[in-house]
Amino acid sequence: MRIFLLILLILLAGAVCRASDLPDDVKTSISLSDDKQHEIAAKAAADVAKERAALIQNLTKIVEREDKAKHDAAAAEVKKYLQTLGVDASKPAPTAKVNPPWADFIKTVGASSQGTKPGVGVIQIAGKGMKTAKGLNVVAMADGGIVLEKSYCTQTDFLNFIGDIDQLPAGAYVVMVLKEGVDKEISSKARKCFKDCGGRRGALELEAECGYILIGAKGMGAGAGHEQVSKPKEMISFPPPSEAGKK
Amino acid sequence: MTMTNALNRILVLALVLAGGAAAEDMPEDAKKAIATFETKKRDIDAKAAAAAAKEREGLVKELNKAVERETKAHHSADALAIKDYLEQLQKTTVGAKKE
Repeated sequence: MRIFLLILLILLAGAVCRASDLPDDVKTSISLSDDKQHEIAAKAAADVAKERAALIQNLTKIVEREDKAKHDAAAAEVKKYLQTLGVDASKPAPTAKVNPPWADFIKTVGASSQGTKPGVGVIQIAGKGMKTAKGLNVVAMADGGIVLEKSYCTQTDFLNFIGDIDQLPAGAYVVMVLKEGVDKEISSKARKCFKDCGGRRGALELEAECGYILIGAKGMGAGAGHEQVSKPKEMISFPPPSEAGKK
Repeated sequence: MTMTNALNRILVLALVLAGGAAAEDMPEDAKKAIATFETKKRDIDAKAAAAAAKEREGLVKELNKAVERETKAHHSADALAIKDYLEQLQKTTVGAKKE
């Protein structure tokens, strides 16, 4: 029995060693290839989301036109199709001065994050790409419009970050994406901002090269938003590539 | 043809016409927009799948070269580990293709 266990142990150890025995250059090639695969999937997801948003806009206009012309059957058919895209056309379309409902808003968001150097930081809202740079990228939407589009990296930046988040009206939608990373020694007050916007963990106490995505709203309550943290070097996307193509 | 048969035929014809009419209610420009979206979505998905396959192919080539190199250098453990990885990769590729 002991001999059998010993043999089993040797075989198991062999298997583990084999998995960790990959030469460094091979590990790098695999990691780079994984990153590229993620990038391809994220780009495709973002492209589809963009096309989908354009289609929704187009069909919503057609519904309005058909409603005005009292072509009830035609409007109903288009509304039926819009419902398959997750849009309820029976409700009035949000005006330019009001944020869309949360459930509708989150469907229009696309985000990718990777903490490596160079990293990845992508934010798309309703098919429109936002400006991003190294650091924590924040986009906020209030009253149906973008009210904040900034990147924060240094300690000084994060003092502004605290002020900017404080100034957002309650209920403003917030999307945060980390690209590459931020300076260490960031004020602890900045950590509270993540919780104020629906985060729990925040992006300031992560391991090196981790990605971070937060989609939330001001005053939503800690942990109520959508928060994603990647493993070091891994790229994360919202929606996840597996769900991005689904209607 | 009996009276019942004639009525049945009329009923079936009416149902078919009603079904067709419902589909016909969709305005032409909406149909066109939906068709364009579906085509673009298919193109994006196909392009992404092709790019992913190409990327994977490149990785396989690179790993095969690494196997050769490690075998020549008599690093059998390294060569075996890469071969294992390649095998796993092959399995997941075949699995993904089946799906």
